[in-house]
Parts: sequence; structure tokens; C-alpha cells
Amino acid sequence: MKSVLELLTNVNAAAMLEQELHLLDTIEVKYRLLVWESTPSIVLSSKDSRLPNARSAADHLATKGWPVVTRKTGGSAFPQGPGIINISLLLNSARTEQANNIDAGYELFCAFCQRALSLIGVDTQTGSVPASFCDGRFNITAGGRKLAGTSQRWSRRDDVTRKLFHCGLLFDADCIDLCEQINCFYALARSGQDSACDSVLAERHTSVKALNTTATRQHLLEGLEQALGEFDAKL
Amino acid sequence: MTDVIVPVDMWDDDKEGVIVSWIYRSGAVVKEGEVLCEVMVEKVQSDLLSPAAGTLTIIEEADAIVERGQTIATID
Repeated sequence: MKSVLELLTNVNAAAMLEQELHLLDTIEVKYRLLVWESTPSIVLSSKDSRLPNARSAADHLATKGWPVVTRKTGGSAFPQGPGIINISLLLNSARTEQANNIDAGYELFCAFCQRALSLIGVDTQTGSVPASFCDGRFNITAGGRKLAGTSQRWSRRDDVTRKLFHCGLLFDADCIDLCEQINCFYALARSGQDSACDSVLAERHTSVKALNTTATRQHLLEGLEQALGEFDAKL
Repeated sequence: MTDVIVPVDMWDDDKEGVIVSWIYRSGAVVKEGEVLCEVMVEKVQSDLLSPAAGTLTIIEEADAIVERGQTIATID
């Protein structure tokens, strides 16, 4: 099966995050899936952008080729760059009782991503992975290591709930390098105080390529497209 | 005076949220329906809209832990 989904590559992460927010406010169709892979950057939530020395930390990382940008979804710092594939699902639905259920949303989105991964031979679970970047209860994991992080943004106006589900998937990224950049940011942004609480360890992460050396980006797109068809009625 | 309250249906259990950022500062004149601040719970970020037009007085600053139903600002 040839996928009609497109992987946007070499894009600017800040521009893509802006585009996602614009789409979230304007989406009229039931759902839309974006898949993209950006140039290197470190993406922060608004909260971390207010750390005492966040600006000087960002300036330092920019000189190393890792510009820092702020996002509108929750969580702590997350790296972007070649080898990290972003799966962004925008949903536009009527407001229901289930619409406010955080766990139900994560469970549905993770199940969708996990189905796509299973179709390319990568079996996964969900859960927290301490000392992984942007840790949360709904990481997608394999063998206890973080394979992907997830987050959400909700926009509610009147009777319409629009949600952006985001997954940052480690496809064939260099986890050692990524963790070094995240640790560098927090150490500088916190002036060395309490930065240990944010320290991340490369060995707590894995990648699609480490789990299935034959998997390709095209295979992932095909898996996502098939999973989208299977989940259509649930979205 | 109108209270700015974290809606009880913003999320559906007893988790605590955190005010990520205020779009306006105390003293700003805001319009009804404008985004006033962003609230995050479990890596889910949502906008909190102004319930009225008027002058904003912030009670709970950014990074404050908040619960559903809590008054976090007023509008006069």
C-alpha cells in the first residue's frame, strides 16, 4: 500500500507549531493528521521559558545549533530535529461528557500511535519513564524505555471542542546528543540550582530504528494511514 | 465584579492544574471571551476565557497550583 500521507521534512519547528495552532482554531473537518520532522531545536513550554536564566541558556544553545522555541502544549523541554518524527492529530468534535476526560484522550491517541507502530513491527506499551525528557504518564514505551512523548492542547468555544494531540517519536535520533542538549538547557537555565531534578539519561530512551532496523519513514506513513482508517469511527 | 473561575468542567477529575501564563497583567482592560491565561494539567494545556469585559485583577499568578472551581482573578 502506498501512503498518501506526506512527511514534511527539514521544516522549522517554530513555524510548524504555529501552523498547528492556526489549524486548531480553524479546522472544520472531523480530523487532520500532520507528520513532520524539523531542523534541530529545543522546544519549551511557557513555564520553562520563565526559568531564571532561560534566555541566556537559549542564547548558548542557539550558538550550538539548537535554537530554543516555546510551544503551546504542556510538558517540559523536548528536543526536535532529524530523527524525531512529530505526529500531530487535530480533532474537531461536538462537546460531550467524554470531551473533558484527560486520560481517555491520551488512551485513544496512544492506541492510535501504538497501532501504527505495531504495523511496522514495533510493539509498545505506555507509561512514565523517570529521567526521560518531557516525562508523563502517557509516554509510548518499549521495554521500559521512552520511544515517544505525548501532550495535548484543548481549545473550547461554545459547543465545539478542538484538540491537538502531539506525539514526538524517536525514529532514528541520537538520544545521547539529544539528552546532552536538554541537560545543558536546564543546567544553564536554573543556574545549576536544582537542575538535577530535570536531568535526563540517554539509556532511558530508545528509537524505532533500535527496535526494528528495517523500518523506514515510508513504512511509518503507511502504518499511520492504515491506523487512521481503523480508528476513524472512534475519532 | 465578576470572578474569573477555573471552570469545574475544564477537566473531569480531581487533578490539580497550574497556571502556565497570563496573557494580560493586572490592570489591563479585557474583553469578554478573550483568552486570559493558559492552564495546564497532565501535559494538557487549555485557554481560560474572560467571562466579562472590564479591568483584570489577578489573584493567582503564573505557576500557581489551582483546582477546578477556584477563583484566580476578578474583573471590574
